Amino acid sequence: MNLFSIFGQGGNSHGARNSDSSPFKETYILALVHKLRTPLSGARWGLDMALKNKECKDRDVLNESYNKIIEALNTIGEILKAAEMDSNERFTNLRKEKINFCVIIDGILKDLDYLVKEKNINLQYDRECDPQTIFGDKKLLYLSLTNIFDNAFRYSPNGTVTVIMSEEGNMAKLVLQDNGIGIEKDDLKHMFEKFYRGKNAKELDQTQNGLGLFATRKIIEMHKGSIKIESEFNKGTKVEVKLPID
Amino acid sequence: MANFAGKKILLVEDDNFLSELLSKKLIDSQATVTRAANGEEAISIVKSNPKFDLILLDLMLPKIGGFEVMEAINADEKIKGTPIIILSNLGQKNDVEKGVSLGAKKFLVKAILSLDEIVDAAAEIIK
Repeated sequence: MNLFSIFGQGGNSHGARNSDSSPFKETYILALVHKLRTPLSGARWGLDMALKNKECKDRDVLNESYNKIIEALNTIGEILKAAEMDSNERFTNLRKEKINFCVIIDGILKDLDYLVKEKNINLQYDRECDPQTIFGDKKLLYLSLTNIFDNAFRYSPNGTVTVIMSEEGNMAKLVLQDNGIGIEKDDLKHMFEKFYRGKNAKELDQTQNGLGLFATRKIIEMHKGSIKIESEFNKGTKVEVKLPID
Repeated sequence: MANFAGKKILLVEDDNFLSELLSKKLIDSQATVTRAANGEEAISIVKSNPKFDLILLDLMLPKIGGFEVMEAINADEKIKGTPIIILSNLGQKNDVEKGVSLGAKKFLVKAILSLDEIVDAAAEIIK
């Protein structure tokens, strides 16, 4: 099945392709996403199977290959999210429910435990969290907040990341403070732009693509919350997220 | 580890490598696995062997797509109600809603799941 059989004709009345047309672009992106995910899924599953074989040789190389594929799949997921946001389709229909904010954070930290270990992070998190109920789309909030934690861990190798949860008026507040590479002043005002990556971040990790904070802010604002970033180059970054309590 | 001893699973997947890997994983869990590489083949197999315990169904298939397969199954009293898990590599909201409305027990995105997670999901349906 080639791209064009998925893609169809598309385009304007003359048959020529009109790349500014939103539904056209979305169909194209979906086709690309599918074309990329299929072989990568195969590679992931294949490596997973090989690594589970007790007689597996070159385990380190295979493990790293597996991690790279996960990264690629995550990037494709981000591309899909960005495409959905452009089309506004997903974000007019948030699937809202009552959510325990602390439980979301616990889940994110559990899922990112591998990154905490990999980057040798000293994680300071007081798990005695007062339950705060927010009303939101669990999956989207999970994805957006995961991105903030991922950034904190990824850009603070051998550093400390502090997680503080509190209430401020009728808002649940999450503060994430790290002593990592920080963000240069010139980059800070662009941080929420799609695909933008700070100079510092690009030097440290070339595998990331900069879609994350754009998506993160969009999701938080759709929940009538706010996100603020303060940072100092080579000193660290503080991210503050507020979400309305239900 | 899941145990599918005595269970029959139909795996409908056009990518041969994905089909091979998932099939091996299911066989390692004692399942009897039949593979189909397109929708037409899937419908033919199910109609002539109506006793599958589970169908794992890709959506983007040659000849006849996954949703059409589900419609064909729903239209046949002898095979209607066979548990189906959709295994897609997209997962757009309208696809998930359509899959659920056609009776899918689960809608899974292959790209974000490991083989073990897919087997666990299958085990939840085959009890």
